[in-house]
Amino acid sequence: MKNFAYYTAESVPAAARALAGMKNAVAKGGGTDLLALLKDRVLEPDEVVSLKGAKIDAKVAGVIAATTTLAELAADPWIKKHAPAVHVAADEAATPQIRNVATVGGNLCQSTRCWYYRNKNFACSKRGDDACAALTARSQHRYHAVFPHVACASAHASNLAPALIAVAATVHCVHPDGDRALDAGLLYQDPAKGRVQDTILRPGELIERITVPDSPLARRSTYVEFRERESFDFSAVSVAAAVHIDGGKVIDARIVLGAVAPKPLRATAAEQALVGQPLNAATIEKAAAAAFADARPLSDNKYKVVIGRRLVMRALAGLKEMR
Amino acid sequence: MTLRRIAKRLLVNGEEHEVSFLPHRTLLEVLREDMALTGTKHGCELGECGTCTVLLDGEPVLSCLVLARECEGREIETVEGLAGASGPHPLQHRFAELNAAQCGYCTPGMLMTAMSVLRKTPAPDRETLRRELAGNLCRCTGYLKIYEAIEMAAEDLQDG
Ligand SMILES: Cc1cc2nc3c(=O)[nH]c(=O)nc-3n(C[C@H](O)[C@H](O)[C@H](O)COP(=O)(O)OP(=O)(O)OC[C@H]3O[C@@H](n4cnc5c(N)ncnc54)[C@H](O)[C@@H]3O)c2cc1C
Ligand code: SF4
Ligand code: FES
Ligand code: FES
Repeated sequence: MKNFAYYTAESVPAAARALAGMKNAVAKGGGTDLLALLKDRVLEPDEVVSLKGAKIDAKVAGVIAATTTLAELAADPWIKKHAPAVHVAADEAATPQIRNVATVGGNLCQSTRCWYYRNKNFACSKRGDDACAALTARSQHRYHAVFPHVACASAHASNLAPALIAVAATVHCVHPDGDRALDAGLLYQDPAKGRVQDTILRPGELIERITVPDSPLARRSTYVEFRERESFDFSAVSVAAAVHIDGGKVIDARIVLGAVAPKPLRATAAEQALVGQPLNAATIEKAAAAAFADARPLSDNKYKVVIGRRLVMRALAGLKEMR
Repeated sequence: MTLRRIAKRLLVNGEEHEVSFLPHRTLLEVLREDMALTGTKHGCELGECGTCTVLLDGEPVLSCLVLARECEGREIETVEGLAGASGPHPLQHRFAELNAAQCGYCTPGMLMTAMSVLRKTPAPDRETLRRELAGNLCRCTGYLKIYEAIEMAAEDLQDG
């Protein structure tokens, strides 16, 4: 790890102001992803601004401070009742030790686990190289994207991102030039050469809070994932889904796929297949097919499409039973 | 950039230590290299194996992914603090008795996670143990003896 100057901030806006005045700085939440990237010298910042001591007023139900740990989020009874997808996603992420330290803001802004990205001996267009090692003939890409982008075939690793998008959570960001609140689904952008971050956050912009609405959609939500190792693992495919059913028909639906593209992917075609219809075996099957209709898997990750479809069906069947 | 050491007071196993270390050092590095507490093991360094587990304010964390400077004012417990005046902790006794340690590399982390489990759940069932120990990998034992040793230690502790 390269040495760095270390700063703390009493609030997230203060941290954002400090970051805005620095040239080569990063923010630090729990550090469970950041420290690994620093050790591998994927990132070599001169300054690290820790959010550890930052005070965030988040006493209201449904308001999650960005510095909340995954363990705290998983233990939040309001979230468990009003946004079960978020509860399960937090509870299933990583290991007990990591959940005790990792923060919600850091989980949303974590980097891909693409092993070529994390090893500077390989070409990576995200890191600014002309080629992507994952897209060469002999690459090892079984965990990579099945909806690859021309610039990058990484898989987005966050559990929380699909879940928060499915329940239509709002992400509140702070920046010295102006704060903004956006739908969690709008936090991410397509990859581009030389841009390591997956979010639309501007340099120095930070997530301060996330709000989960008290809505029928969020209450009827679920998160399911497939991972190779049962004890703990990054998911190979995950699905977060939420439906609002009224009068026997779906009037709103969100289906979000994780770990299949460089960003969490809203399966809008699958959502549209449900809206206006009853939730039954036939519509569920249609939605699952629609979710992966545009998939273009690589040679070694076709399994993600097969399992992904089943996960969409499992998630929706679970929502059918939920009341 | 200058590599000036920083001085911090760290509370380790109930004792305060004034330690000076490089500002970007992890808790694992400071425990092992600056404080000569080599019971905590250095494995993957990336959060994958759990052998570096210590307790921070009673909760298990990975010392390889925590900056030492952020531990000032917090209670750090390592495997060196487990044994008491009367000898090894019941967990240590039972691990030895059941051969729950083979190469032993995972053991300090296992013991510390187990310690935190037993404080919260004096009589944990197998499912709780599986879940709480999910982040501690063992390549030798197949886990069964580890679970059994913890269950027996739990009984020892309840019997007083
Ligand atoms: C072995 C292992 C298994 C894992 N398994 C899973 C899993 O199954 N599912 C899953 O979802 N994750 C998993 N993770 C990833 C883990 O959840 C993340 O490392 C963690 O959530 C990151 O949070 P942090 O607070 O430690 O972030 P940090 O490491 O501190 O930061 C990560 C990034 O987020 C940025 N950041 C932090 N806070 C903010 C903020 N408030 N606003 C803007 N940017 C911010 C930082 O600048 C940095 O770029 C695993 C990690 C490991 C090591
Ligand atoms: S898949 Fe993306 S992150 Fe991985 S090497 Fe290619 S460009 Fe880099
Ligand atoms: S050394 Fe810390 S988890 Fe492996
Ligand atoms: S005893 Fe060898 S790794 Fe557990």
